[in-house]
Amino acid sequence: MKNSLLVLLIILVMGCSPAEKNSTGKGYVVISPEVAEILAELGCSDQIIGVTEECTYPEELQSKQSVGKFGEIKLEDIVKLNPEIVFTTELEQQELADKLEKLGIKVVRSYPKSVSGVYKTIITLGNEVGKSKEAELLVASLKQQVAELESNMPKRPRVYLEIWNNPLMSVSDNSFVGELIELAGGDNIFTELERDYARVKPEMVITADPEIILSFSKQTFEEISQRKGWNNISAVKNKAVYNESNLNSDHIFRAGPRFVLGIRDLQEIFKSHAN
Amino acid sequence: MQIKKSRFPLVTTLVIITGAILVYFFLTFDTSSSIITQQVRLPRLLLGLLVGAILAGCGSIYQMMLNNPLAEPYILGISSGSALFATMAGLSGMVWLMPIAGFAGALLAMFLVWTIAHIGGWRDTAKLLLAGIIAGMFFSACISLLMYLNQKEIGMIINVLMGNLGRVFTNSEWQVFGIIGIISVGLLGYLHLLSLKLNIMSTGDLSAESLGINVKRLRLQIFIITSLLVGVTVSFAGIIGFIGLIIPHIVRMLIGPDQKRVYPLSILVGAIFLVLCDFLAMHLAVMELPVGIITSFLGAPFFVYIMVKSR
Repeated sequence: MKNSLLVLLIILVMGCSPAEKNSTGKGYVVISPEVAEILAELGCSDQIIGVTEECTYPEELQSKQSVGKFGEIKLEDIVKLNPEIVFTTELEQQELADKLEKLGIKVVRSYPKSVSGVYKTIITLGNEVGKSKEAELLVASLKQQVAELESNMPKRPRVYLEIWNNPLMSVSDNSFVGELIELAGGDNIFTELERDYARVKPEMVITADPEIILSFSKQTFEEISQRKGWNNISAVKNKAVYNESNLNSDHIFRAGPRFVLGIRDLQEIFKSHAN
Repeated sequence: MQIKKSRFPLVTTLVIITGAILVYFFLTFDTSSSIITQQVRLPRLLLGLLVGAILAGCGSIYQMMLNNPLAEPYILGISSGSALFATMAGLSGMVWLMPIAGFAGALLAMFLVWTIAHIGGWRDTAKLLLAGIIAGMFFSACISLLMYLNQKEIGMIINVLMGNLGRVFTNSEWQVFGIIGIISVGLLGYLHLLSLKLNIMSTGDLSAESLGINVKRLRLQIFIITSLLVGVTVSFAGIIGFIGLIIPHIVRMLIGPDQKRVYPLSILVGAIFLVLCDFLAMHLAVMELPVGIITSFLGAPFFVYIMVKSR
């Protein structure tokens, strides 16, 4: 009796072993908005069963089950859905991805940091979901659109992009959005910074005298023009200040297929101030 | 003690001369544009001077009033309350509200700490200290929770917690700051008038009362004024550690413990030391560093040097 109990216990413990591969899973859970856009573009919307609240594009994703917000994913909700693959980004989702793998769930991480990174990610994701052909076609089409946009470059206006106002933070050419500004024919005033997204001094902005300001620090034009010393900046004088209300931030900050729309949006802004 | 006392004019003169040179460099370093000097650097300079003065001045008062060499302006939890409310305003998207919310948080923390400290009698500074530390820990835990839940906004929260004098003022914010700054200087002056009473209070509550000082009223008065001032600093510059703790000690090592002299010199040294740290924070590395890190890096070895020298 004692022995059989022991055997039972051992079987139970073994049965709980987390390393066991879960092969019954079906469908994808996507917790990175940009990856969600890529998968949807590849025609995988039907297989996606779980998303984050930020995965709002394309529209059909909004009806999918939510597994939390981008920064606060509920691990148990993902496990409950029993997915075949979970698609994550890196950085803040690294820890979560590790946990999912320990539970025997397949995880695909992608974190494109540049336009060429987006192309690579599309190909990788295409291979993972069995849509290699679609992926190659999508990349070719994106490349062509970029080439077309590049060919009609206007005069390069100096551009300052603000991602936060206290402290002031901007982006370098190495960041994704910095690359888009350059592709669209603008000249980012912070070519090099210690990090892709870094603190900058207000005096550097005033000295560089940008002709266009793209502000994502939740401040209105009035607030920016009221800043001490900023009324001398060309962009403020000419009211060439853009923010969330007239520039779709998802187009330029998400490294997904819509970045070509971002380049187009930026180029329209640059052109309208070219005269 | 007498020798140290007689050093006061010399030390003050030296500090003022150093300060003037520093101010000149702060305003003109690496730029020839008058717009930058007047519109960007001057506001930053004045903010740094005010914050440094308040922190060091209040630090010297707390160390006397609480009879504890480890006391500093943030020890009574006011700063954590202020930082918590400023953070909450920032997280809810109302970035422009952050200074006001920070100030409201300071007032709330002040009320809370004073109430807790006086449950069951008031004749004990240790209770005020404990109440402050506990309230501070509670608010810090709230901030940690907010940081944990809002990892995307962590940069903004760190900015509040590590201190930043580089805020970009709008013209209207600058006017508000001007008014608050003048009131603050007035309050700092008023605190100086209380310095003599603090000297007596440091000999013990009972002997102070026997000399006709209403200890409870004095303590409440000081507590309210210093809390308001600390609230102002956190609202505009976040939490900048070390200055309030170290500067008064350095000053005492140089000129002796008489609060009437320690207080004004602490204000002067604190203001200049913070501007020096901010100058280094701006220009030391390519990337601007949080000023709170510089104050500790620079302050700790300097403090050890003074401590060894003054023996």
